[in-house]
Amino acid sequence: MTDIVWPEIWQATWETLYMVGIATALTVILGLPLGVLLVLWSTPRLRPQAVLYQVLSVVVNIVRSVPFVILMIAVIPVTEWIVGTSIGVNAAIVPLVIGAAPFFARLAESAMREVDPGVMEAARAMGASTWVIIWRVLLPEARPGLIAAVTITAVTLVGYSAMSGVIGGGGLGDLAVRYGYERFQTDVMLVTTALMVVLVQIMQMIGDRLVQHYARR
Amino acid sequence: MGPAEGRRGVTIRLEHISKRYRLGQRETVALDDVSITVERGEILGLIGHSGAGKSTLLRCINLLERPSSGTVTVDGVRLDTLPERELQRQRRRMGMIFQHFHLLSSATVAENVAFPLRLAGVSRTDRERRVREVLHWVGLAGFEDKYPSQLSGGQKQRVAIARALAPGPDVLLCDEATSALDPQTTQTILDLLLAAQRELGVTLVVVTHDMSVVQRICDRVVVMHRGRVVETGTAADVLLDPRHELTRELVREAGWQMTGRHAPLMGRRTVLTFVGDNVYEPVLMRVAQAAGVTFSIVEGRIDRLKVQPFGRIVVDWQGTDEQWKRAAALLEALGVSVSEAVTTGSRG
Ligand SMILES: Nc1ncnc2c1ncn2[C@@H]1O[C@H](COP(=O)(O)OP(=O)(O)O)[C@@H](O)[C@H]1O
Ligand SMILES: [Mg+2]
Repeated sequence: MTDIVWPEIWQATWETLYMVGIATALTVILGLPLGVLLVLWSTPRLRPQAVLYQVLSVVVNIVRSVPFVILMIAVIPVTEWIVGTSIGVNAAIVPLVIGAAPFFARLAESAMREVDPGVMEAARAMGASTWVIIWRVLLPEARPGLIAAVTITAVTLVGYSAMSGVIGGGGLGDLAVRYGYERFQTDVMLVTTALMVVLVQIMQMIGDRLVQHYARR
Repeated sequence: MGPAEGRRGVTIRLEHISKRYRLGQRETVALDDVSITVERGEILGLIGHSGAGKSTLLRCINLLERPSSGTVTVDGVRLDTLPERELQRQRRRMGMIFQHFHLLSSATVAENVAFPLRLAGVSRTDRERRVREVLHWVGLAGFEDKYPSQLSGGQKQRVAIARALAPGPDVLLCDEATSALDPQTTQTILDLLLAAQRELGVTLVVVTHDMSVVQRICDRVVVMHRGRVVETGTAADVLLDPRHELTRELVREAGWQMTGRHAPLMGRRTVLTFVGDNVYEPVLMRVAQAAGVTFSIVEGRIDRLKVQPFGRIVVDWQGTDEQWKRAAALLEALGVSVSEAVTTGSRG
């Protein structure tokens, strides 16, 4: 373990945290409304829209079925348009969000489907509008499931970020490939992989704690 | 909570309501040209077998279910033609409770009760005051910070009632509100519904398949069968003198139709129905002595309909035809209704 470049490892760890953190936040911001629409448009007592639902559903499925490596390359023009460049940590975030948002939308959708329709019905009987039902019933009631969905998404994004880092340049995955694969420094590869394992463990633990906290009710 | 004085109930008028559901090619007629009215301040029971259309009809009152045709008028306001936003405002004047309570599991008891107040734009301090007041009224003072999962079924239904009554509605719609509860808890919930009628002047529409609910709280009853109304009457009419075959069946299933058919025949078999205070008087003894007959009671039930005492007993009379006629006349004169029992039962 003589020539491990610790400053570079810490730099890469920070980059991974940054990519995963920002990407998770943007994924939720983009994916949650999609998930809400998927529920809204397919639930008889909310706002059933068979055609719109089918369209959205198919789009979500298509994006989800494209392997992330291919998606990463395919969205390079989009990345250049948004970030101005296709390399760097910020550029890596774009494919992460595009790849993860439909995934998260489905997870959120199934979490919201677990909500007792009777409770929404009761809210409607009290004179709540659809908007109020979403905001004050659907989302709060689905909170444990939604938190679990965020956790799964963030963990998945750690893996994706390792891949997108290879292209965009940055993060633990990039480091592992540059030192471990290209320069045969197995020790660097082991350390970076271990760091990712620890990262995932910590994220899962926090997520589980939060789910437990809200589900105890 | 405020007293009933000065508070007027609402007349609900449903006219020619039909509701059809289309499932692919098949069409279900859930309601077929139903018209009912609900009087101010009464408790109206909607009874019938499962699938009769009771819930659908109830949900037409607050337009949770949109009728395929027909009109819904509550306190003079046509609800079925209102735009959604106005309808939402009108719904706030009607509370609703359900078999499975439908409380927000992610919210505390206080937050649940505050929900409709928030919708009505009640200020925070007024909300808190009202939540305390109404929780106290349902007997759950001090439960503010608990979550529904920490409560028993009966307590959950009390919270649901508190939530429904918090905005001071004129009407309370109840869909099988006691069907998930044990008999003792059922009694406490029914007492609360009666209190809502008496103390708050609320008009109640109560869907149930349980005849004891009808007996204990209903003033009038609408009997439904396959999407139609087959009989309407006072609770006493329906329970003690059912006309429609289906009503008879419901009453029989609930053990209200007494014929003494399991008892050996001990004389001329009659069914006597007492309604009112003479239930508690020694009527039979006096009549028997005056007419010179003896009697055996082979089956019977003495109870109350809401607050009114009633008795129904199956009696076998021993004596001559002459003596029996005298006894029957005396009974009728004392306000007891006398009918011949259908003696298809076992003998000797
Ligand atoms: N959303 C629905 N879609 C299709 N059919 C329905 C729906 N709701 C009720 N029905 C049908 O309408 C009839 C009456 O139902 P309901 O009012 O729930 O009866 P009850 O409350 O008396 O048991 C039943 O045959 C039921 O299957
Ligand atoms: Mg029902």
